[in-house]
Amino acid sequence: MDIHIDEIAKEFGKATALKPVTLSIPSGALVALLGPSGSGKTTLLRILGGLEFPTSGRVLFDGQDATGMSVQDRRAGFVFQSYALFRHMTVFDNIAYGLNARPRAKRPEKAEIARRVTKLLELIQLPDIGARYPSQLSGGQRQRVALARALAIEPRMLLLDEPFGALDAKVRKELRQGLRDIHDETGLTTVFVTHDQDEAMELADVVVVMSMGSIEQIGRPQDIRDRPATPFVRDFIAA
Amino acid sequence: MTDIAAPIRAKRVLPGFTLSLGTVLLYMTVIVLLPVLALILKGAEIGPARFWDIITSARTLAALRLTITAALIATAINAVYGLLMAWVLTRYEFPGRRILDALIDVPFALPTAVAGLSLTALFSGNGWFGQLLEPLGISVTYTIWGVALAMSFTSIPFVVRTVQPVLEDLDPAYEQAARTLGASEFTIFRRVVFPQILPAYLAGCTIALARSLGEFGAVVFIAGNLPFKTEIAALLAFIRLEEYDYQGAAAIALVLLFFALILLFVSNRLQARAMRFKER
Repeated sequence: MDIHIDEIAKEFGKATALKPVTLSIPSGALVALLGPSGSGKTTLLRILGGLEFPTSGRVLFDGQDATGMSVQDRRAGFVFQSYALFRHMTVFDNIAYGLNARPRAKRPEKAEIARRVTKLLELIQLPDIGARYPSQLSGGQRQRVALARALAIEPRMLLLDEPFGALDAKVRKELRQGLRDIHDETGLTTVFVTHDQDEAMELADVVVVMSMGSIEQIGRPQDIRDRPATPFVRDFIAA
Repeated sequence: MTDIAAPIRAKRVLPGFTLSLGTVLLYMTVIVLLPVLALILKGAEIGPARFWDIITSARTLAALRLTITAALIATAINAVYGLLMAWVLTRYEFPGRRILDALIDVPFALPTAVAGLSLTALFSGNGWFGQLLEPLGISVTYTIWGVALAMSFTSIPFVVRTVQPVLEDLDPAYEQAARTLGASEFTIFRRVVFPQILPAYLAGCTIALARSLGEFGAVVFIAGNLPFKTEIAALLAFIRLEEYDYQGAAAIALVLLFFALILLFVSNRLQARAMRFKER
């Protein structure tokens, strides 16, 4: 699914989080929103997911206006920075949550849900942890379970907020490749937020550099490295 | 001479452990433990046969039945209303929210006798509420409903004040995550929010029930205190004491104590069950 962000602006009270920004994301792309904290990258991601609504501007999914569409209707797989795994449910129930929460008429059979959860556990390469609780998992495992839970609803796009933010360097590297593989396998349009330029450069097809609520530059990692469009981008990449 | 013989004692980071723990234990013993112990010893003097006679006498049984039934009604009301109240106070911003929040503590601060008097005045036949209810054939004062009403008034803060902080601390990301997964607001409450507040909720309801079983001041004004009809167990113990029937008073008090201990035990078990996901 392709995403078009048309002159989106967001204010929280008097504070401006996003000045009008415009961005087109082609179907199946892996895009990084890169910037320091306060640059508006997370706000933009949450607007795509329907967790915030823009003050002005439009969001188009496959050319259809989705600006006012509810979170539930968007079918955006969202991975939170804190993962937000349900502590009182097993890994299996966490991943099955989105399927179990459907109205009875649209809910898959129990066996079908179990089959899909098993498949997702294999996809994240943790086939044996279904019966465990989130508190029994390592940080990297939790992140992958959160990803599997988001994928279970057969989302139209994948949105990740600082997906590797809370992990140590070694696990980060492994999971980067894991996300790349899952993206290539599912072909989902994927947008992730990061403040780590290495992560953005290594993983994304397209990097969107943001600062103070505006987009500074959009380009392939190579272009951004070789031809920074503004002094801000040059300094940020050099840091 | 070197001082190698000096005993090596691990130094605690925070000083004052012995003094503070000692004070706490002494206080607990004098204020809580000794009275309970004295009551049990007093009860033990009675002897099992006499004890059984006292607590199975028609008047005691009627008082216990009324107390327990009314306390259960009061707790059922508080369980619904207290949860709703905690939800409203934490989830919505509205003018007067802080005032409402402060009002929750009024039953704690108000002398229970004052509460009993004002409830009686409101619900008696010529009171504001009473004159509306009486023509409908509903009488509150001098009935079990009055007893339950007074009990629920004094114990409502326990439910609200145990659930409220847990709701406030709940990371909004849980609900947002459930929303992105397509869950309706009701499903989110039932399967994501409620299980997380359940331990605190159970604790609050149990304390409210325990408090209702022992409520005295507010109830005696509105109940009418007719033996066999609207006489609560705590009042019967008081009456026995006034009659210099120490054994009778102690026996009834022991039964109340027994219920309180059972409730605490059940509450702990329920909480441990509801929190089992945390231990693993």
